Amino acid sequence: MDEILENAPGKKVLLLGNDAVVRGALESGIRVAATYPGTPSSEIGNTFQRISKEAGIYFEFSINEKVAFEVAAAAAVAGVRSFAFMKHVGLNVASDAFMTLAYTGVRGGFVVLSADDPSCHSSQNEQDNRYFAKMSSVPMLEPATPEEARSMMHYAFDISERFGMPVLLRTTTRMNHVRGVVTYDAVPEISSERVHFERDPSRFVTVPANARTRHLEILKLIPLMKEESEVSPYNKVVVPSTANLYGKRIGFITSGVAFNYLMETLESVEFGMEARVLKLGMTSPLPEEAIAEFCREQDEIIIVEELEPYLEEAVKIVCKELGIGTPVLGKRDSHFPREFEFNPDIVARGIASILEGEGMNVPDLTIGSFEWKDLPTPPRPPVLCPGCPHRATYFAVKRATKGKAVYPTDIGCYTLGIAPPQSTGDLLICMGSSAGSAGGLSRIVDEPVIAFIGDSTFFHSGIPPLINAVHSGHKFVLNIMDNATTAMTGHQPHPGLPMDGMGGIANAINIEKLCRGIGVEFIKVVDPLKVKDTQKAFEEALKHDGVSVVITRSVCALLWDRELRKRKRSRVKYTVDQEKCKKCNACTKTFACPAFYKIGEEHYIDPGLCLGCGVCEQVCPFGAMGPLEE
Amino acid sequence: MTFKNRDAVTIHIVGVGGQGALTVSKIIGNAALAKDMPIVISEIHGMAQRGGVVQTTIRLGHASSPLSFSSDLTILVGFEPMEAYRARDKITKDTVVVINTDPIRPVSVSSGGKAYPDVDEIVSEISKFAKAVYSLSAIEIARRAGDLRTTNVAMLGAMSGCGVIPFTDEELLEAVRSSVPEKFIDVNIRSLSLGRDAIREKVCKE
Repeated sequence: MDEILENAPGKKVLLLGNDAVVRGALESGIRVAATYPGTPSSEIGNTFQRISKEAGIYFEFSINEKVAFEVAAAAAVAGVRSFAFMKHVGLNVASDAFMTLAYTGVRGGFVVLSADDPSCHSSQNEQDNRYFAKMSSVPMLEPATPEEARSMMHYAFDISERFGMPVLLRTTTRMNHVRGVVTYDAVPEISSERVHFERDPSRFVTVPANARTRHLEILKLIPLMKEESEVSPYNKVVVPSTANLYGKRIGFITSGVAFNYLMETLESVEFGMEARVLKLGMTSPLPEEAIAEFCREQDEIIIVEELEPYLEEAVKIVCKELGIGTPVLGKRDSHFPREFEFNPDIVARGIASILEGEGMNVPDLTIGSFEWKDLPTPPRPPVLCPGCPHRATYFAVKRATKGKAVYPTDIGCYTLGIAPPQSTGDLLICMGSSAGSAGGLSRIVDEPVIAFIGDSTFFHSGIPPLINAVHSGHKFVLNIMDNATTAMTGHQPHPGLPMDGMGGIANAINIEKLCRGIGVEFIKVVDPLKVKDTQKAFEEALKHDGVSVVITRSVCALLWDRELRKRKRSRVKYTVDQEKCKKCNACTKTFACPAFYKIGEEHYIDPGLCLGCGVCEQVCPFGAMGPLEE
Repeated sequence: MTFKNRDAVTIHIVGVGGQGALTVSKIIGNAALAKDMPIVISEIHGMAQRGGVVQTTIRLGHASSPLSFSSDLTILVGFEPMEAYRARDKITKDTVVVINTDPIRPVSVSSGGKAYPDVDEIVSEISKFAKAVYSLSAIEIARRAGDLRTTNVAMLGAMSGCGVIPFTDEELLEAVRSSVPEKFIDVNIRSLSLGRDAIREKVCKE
């Protein structure tokens, strides 16, 4: 049995935060889970994919986050516990459903996890999704550690069912991607019995008349949920165990992973104060009375939170309304940054800057740095893998356009094409924006437009803009880069593949048939590892008067490599014939496979990295690259 | 002024995607779990599979945070020499540094014409400031152990050879046993002890 499924209460296991969330969901007895993969939440889906069949729950990688949300929410409306999870920007996609599900509410517990990404480790923005809770009136929980995330899942399902509301579990990268010790609770038996759908259209069909009534119902719920927040075991006062036990009474208010950095600071740096920490785990609705009581007892309040001043604004309102004169400091007065994730250094400096401004003696926090010699440390950005079909596609595209084109791109590995020598990325906003923005560009700019979109991203949100382009008569090339997987997030399946999220067989949607059905007149499918064919397809596509689709189809190099290893098949290795090589550098300047390297002026191919895709042979103008003869 | 959490050991591992740093942190995790020692591990592996930098911070003992003060590093482990130098700002006079001397050249060097630093110079520069520096070729150790894929466990052995991580030889041996697939146990154990011996010899000479 998979260790995460073990019904072993009390067992201690080292789990990734994302796996602790899965464990919490299993212990809570969920029956349905759905997602669209997105880092830092991706591993949650990978684990469900591995265990859902054995666990007896239904799991799917949905076409996008909105559909994932709707699949799981409907199960909760029908009366069973369910779970939808996504990265922070995924909640933007699901927000239409999210905002109105807050009106209808649910009957079985429903938790939606948002994985926020301060510092944009793997995201296009670092929006603070705590405001979604405020905007929707949905209760919100913020775990600081994997163990807290596990136990909070129980609490989340409990309050979801008590108030009939979805619950937002807001996590950040330093919870999702932290491994910590988790203590197991029991896992209940999952029923497989179907439930009868109890009709209640006045609640669940949000025509205007019902929506108005439901909004009043939700507003009535807010004070009740606030009462829960006042007594929630996750909202509590914590006292640092060492240092900062005597002096000026300073109260800290914090939530999420910022709590960890604050405690590390208060227990390591002697500021000469008496510190108390109000740790908020339930941050919507906020426990306003508990906050007021805490503020009254302190000489000063310092808010420690990542990203936006969400808590700070709320605490200031509470103090103002109740006439509490304790000063409240945080990031509105620039003591703490509003950008990027925190760490103990940032928290200590923020506290020091406040105390110093008040004339207190604070420890010197400047870190003495050594006189390091300036040795070269060239950057090591992520790159397209050796053998990656995307690199070959970009090579052919650049030949077809002769450098004259605008390239809207999209979200996936192929975004790495922004780096030279490919340089095939000019505009990227969000999932699916390549196809939508190509329409606008094609009406205005003086160069042809070639838009890039991956297969999974095309299904996620590329289809409506393609329909729009056909309908509106836009003229651009849409290149659907079909590598038969959702590669960037760890090779999850998508609707174009004959497999589902539980390891079963699924109906694969054929991309070219779909395009034909929409009314695209020019559709070409090519193997991007054949450079001339690919170049020709793009040249023809550029001549087409209307929207044209080029599908470059070749499996992800990592999957191909894995498959070859599994079958114990050796790969053809490519090498450079030093006599034929004219040292023109065309290979490194126009293609730049990571397997290429130079010693002096001579070019070589690293046999340990070469996957044998054979594109270099087509790139070299002098025929100097070719298969190594054994 | 430096700040230290006196009750915690902080390990920072830097390397390149695919080198197996994650497996090493899991082995250390299992060693800690086996003796009920508090542990928290933080990983940044956004696009590691695509040749990017991998960073892992491991904190053993009583630590409130998965990230430490920048002045609070017990041991810096460079799975790749240039990445060790890139992380030099984390080194204090109390930090022990272990470096694998086998370079992995980024594309900007291998075909972009940028210079790669001299590995001996990296080691000698770091030795000017760190508490101690130990270097070894993990590939050489793994080759002697019998499988080139065990460079990561060779580095774990090297870490243990410095004597600053709070596990006995037996505890790490058990953790390797319980963390790697059955058929790779023996070769990994060989790599672990060869890596450890290579560094322990140098420590003893001092």
